[in-house]
Amino acid sequence: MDISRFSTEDLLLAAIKSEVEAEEVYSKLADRVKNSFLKERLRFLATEELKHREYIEGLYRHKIGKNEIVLPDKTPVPLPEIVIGDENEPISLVLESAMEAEKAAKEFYEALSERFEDAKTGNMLRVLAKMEEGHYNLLNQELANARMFEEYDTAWPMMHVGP
Amino acid sequence: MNSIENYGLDELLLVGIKSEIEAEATYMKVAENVKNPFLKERLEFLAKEEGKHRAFLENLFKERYPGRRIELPEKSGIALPEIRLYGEDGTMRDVLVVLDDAMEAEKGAYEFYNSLAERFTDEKMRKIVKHLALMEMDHFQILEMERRDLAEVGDIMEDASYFQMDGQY
Repeated sequence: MDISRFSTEDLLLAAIKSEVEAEEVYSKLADRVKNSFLKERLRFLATEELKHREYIEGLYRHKIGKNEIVLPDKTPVPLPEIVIGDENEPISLVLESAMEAEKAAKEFYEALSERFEDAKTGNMLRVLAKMEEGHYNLLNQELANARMFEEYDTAWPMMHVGP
Repeated sequence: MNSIENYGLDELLLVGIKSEIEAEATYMKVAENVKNPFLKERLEFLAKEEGKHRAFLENLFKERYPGRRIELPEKSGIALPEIRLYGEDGTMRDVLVVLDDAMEAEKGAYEFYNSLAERFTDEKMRKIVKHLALMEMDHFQILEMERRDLAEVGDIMEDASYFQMDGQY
């Protein structure tokens, strides 16, 4: 991913915005689905995106030197959004959209890691990239499950049990 | 894993429940001992899923054997791989070694549930148990990735200061 034409501030704001949106989408989706395992997995993803956001916010304050973070409505950095649709949207389509976003996030953080000269920040951003790759893999598994089990989200009462 | 065809469904379910309880407890214990908040979160996530598997198997047991108490076997002829947390000297083993064990255990659980699924004649239940198998394979892959990251960037993964977000600066 070529991010050379964007300022570091724009890139960090885009990253924060993207993490905020991902967390919201996963949380909303978790509320929507009935399958307790999928629900838990989506909550897990939301929690990780929140932690990513917290890290990038700290990075922003340190590198940009501004305490207040004002997210733009639109960012010039083209990162795909997750399309959640309405409640009738098949879960497989939402998962596919989320996978696209995770893949882009991985490439984005890899590129962003090159922007910083200090090894600690570069390494940490590469770790975030790997985590986004992990999210992609997890969603890919869920997509395979959703496709394999046509009644995945609705018809298994015993799958809704749990602590 | 040895063949399960000579065992009754009740025994298999009890072995499954026991294995899930042990996996849940192990992941929670490892989570308590790692500094990296992401790894901690992931281990807690795995523990929660194992807890849900256990609850599912318990419900299935109660449904199939109404009135029977769930009494877990101390030993069973069905050998599912265990995750060894502590070494012979009583100290916790290296996280990488524990993750190796955990990956083996997840693979064993995957094979176990796949075989168990064949015990069910109704298609729906077979699919559900196969779904459990797939989840164990997901766990294997999550652990594999964690292990790879730990091996590659262990300095980061073990250094809590990297993750101290705002506090880092």
